[in-house]
Amino acid sequence: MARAFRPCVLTANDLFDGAVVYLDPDGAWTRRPGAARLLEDEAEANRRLAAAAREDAIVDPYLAEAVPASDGRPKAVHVREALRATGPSNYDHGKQAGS
Amino acid sequence: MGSGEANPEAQRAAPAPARPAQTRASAGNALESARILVRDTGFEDDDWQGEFIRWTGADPFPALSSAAALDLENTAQAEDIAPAFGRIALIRIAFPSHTDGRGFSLARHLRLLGYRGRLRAAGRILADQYAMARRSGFDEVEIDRALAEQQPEEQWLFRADWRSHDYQKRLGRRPRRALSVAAHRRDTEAPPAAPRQAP
Amino acid sequence: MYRYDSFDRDFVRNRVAQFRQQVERRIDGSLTEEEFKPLRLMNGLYLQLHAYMLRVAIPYGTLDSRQMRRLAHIAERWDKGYGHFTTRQNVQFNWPRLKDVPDILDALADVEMHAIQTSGNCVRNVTADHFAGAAADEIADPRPTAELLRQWSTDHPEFAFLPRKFKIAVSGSPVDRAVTRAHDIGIRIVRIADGELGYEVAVGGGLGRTPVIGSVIRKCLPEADLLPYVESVLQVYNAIGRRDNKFKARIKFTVGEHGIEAFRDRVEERFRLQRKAFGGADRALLERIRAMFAAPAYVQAPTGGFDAALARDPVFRSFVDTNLHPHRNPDYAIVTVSLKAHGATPGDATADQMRVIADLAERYGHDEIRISHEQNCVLPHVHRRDVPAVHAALREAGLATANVGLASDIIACPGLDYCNLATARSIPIAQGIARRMKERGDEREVGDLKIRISGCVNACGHHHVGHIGILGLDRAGVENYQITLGGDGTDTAALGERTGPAFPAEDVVPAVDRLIDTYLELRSDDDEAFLATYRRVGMQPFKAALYPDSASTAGS
Ligand code: HEM
Ligand code: SF4
Repeated sequence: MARAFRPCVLTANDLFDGAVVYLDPDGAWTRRPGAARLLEDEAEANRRLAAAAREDAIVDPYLAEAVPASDGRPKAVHVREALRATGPSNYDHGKQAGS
Repeated sequence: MGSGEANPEAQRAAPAPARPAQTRASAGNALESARILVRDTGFEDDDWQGEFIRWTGADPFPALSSAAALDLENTAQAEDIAPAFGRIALIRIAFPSHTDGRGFSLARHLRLLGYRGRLRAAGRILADQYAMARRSGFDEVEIDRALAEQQPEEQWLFRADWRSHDYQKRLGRRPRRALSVAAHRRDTEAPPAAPRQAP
Repeated sequence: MYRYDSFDRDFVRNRVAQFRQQVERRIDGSLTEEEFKPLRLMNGLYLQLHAYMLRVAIPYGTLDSRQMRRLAHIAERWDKGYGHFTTRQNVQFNWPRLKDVPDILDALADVEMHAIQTSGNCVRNVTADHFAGAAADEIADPRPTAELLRQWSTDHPEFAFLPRKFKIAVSGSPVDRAVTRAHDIGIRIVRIADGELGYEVAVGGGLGRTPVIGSVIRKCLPEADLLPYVESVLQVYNAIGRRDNKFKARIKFTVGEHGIEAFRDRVEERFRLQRKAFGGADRALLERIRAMFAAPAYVQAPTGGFDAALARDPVFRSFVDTNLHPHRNPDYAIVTVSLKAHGATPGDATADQMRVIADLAERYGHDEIRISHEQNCVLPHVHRRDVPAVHAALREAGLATANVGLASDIIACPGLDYCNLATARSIPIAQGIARRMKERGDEREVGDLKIRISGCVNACGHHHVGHIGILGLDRAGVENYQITLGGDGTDTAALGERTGPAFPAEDVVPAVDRLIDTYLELRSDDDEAFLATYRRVGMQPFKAALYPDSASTAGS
């Protein structure tokens, strides 16, 4: 049962500290969820994913569904991705601490 | 270190006649062979020139008249093979993936049942698993060239100290007594120049 | 306590050196992630949602003050100032960096600790009754057996790549505090003849998405046969356990598919061979280990101060009520330090708290600390006269929460706040319930109530065996919680039964509230605990309280 493609961001974890990273519009990895590139074309998203899978400095890349927020930045759809974008809810130890 | 003349296809194709002796190699680079043996001393070319007979479990050894080499899947039943131990010089157990540890238990089972011939682990094995293989009763590990390039000799040599730090040894868990004769010989002598084959 | 000899020390150092090399090879690219992953997992290093997570073994849950202080040091130096104690008697650090992990492992090795085999498809950290060597009801201390198994399973050449992970627990008491029947192998020390001890061995227990209570494979195994027998079980499992489907790979499925009888036959056949392979060194080692677990030099002194404090101080009284357990020496008590302050993250301890516990153990507790599967710390040997001083010090450190065994003493897994496999958060639910219990102010009246929360079907939070079990699920990207009732992880083990449709996150605390109200209304008297009431009256009244609007409460 193939699911229709939905816009998404390409995300992974950094090899060195495990931090959540996103592919940005310049093709670099950013730690800021707001700076992620929203991928709206399925073929392009898959191409980027395949390329990321060969990269050594990041781990476990995958496409995570996202929608543009009112400011145009990608916003997570799933609660899991929302938590990855902020950090754990019991302590300000994740990304919420830095921003 | 002796090196075969690197014609793996001839060795893989079955049935291939066993060659009487090993040809001297010109260049001693084990990496030139597609089939590389890893031993405590590092990489070597395979010195086994005979054919491998695939064990299917159905017809016990029609082709085995003298000492032969047997290819086993890691699902083989050790008890079924036990009656023929005396006629087998080498058993090669396939490791289809480095996450599949069945071959280690099969090796140990063969040793516990008294198999004293040469025992080889072949396939997807990581350098980090070398000590496990040796401690389970294997004499050697066979890898292909791609794997050898990815995990060069130093990484295997790093684990060649498999006799130290061994809890099982401290617990007195044998089968050391039943461990292969070939292994003992290799431990005390220089690598043999000729392949160990039955006359 | 077990002390490393040079063999253990060299082994652990050598493993750190290996792992240091593996990390370097990963960073320089000679190992791919696919190849590195099983190696890092064998050394307890996971990749979680926001960071790596290092899981450190606390074998059979026993540690001393020096080790606890080292955990505090690691938390401060390489993590964010705290550690998370788990139901499997491990401690997890949630924020280490890959390149620091070999240094952390070296720091652990300094105090005879490691993270070996706390992950991966191998034999995991062997767990035991957290009151071992202290409990009044004990037949024998399970820790020598657990230590023997630890050594046997460490770096076992055959069993590092099993079909799936493998967990062993040992209990030395008729009261099963180690949840042995929910383990791949559960071992209980039994008396087989006068004076002689043996083991009852159960296999195929486990929680996870398909919970199974283990079946007894040997009623009384002579002590000398332990290692060959356990090794036979693992060899059979390694050979015939399923590898085609990760969700059917645990030994519980192997036993289920072949049947316990056929499985037993295979094991016994292998055992005949295996038995000859062990020459007796294992038994000599067990004797040596046993000597190291000799009882501490108990102090002979009057317990006077204890009774005076009890008469004088109601706060102390309630602490004694819930957090003390009977010690085999009547002058002593087992003191549980709750890591469940209302609203705190269950199982978390800050570096400062770890140091307070270490100091108390050293000063008043014969230098012993335990980690319980209930995610609390235990001081197993405290003379009664010292309990008031211990209590005062704990109070000062915010560690004197008197709720052990009560509704706010919740087991919760890390859930979606940290865990890569989670489908919903557990921690905020636990925090919410504990806060609500504090508001209600009646948790002492409610009494013995075990609430267990898991953030996905893997059941790390033991929800199947909670009197009230809560399982977090994902419904189209939104958290959703299923409630079960009547689970029991003790010797009267039972799996919880689902109440009906799941609840959205904000409705879980009110739902638990209604369950507790219903229980208070229905109980026959103040002494009938939640579980007993549930067993007597059944699901129906609780269901009616949970789903007041649904006309028919049948099915779900
Ligand atoms: C945070 C990372 C964790 C991961 C990735 C993880 C993963 C898993 C998985 C996949 C299972 C199911 C195994 C199966 O049925 O085959 C499981 C079971 C279990 N885990 Fe965890 N877990 C984690 C943390 C914890 C923690 C923190 C605890 C203790 C609080 C824990 C204790 C257990 C227990 C008791 C079980 C059930 C017993 C069994 O194995 O059947 N786990 N875990
Ligand atoms: S139960 Fe699920 S969410 Fe909780 S720790 Fe285990 S795997 Fe993670």
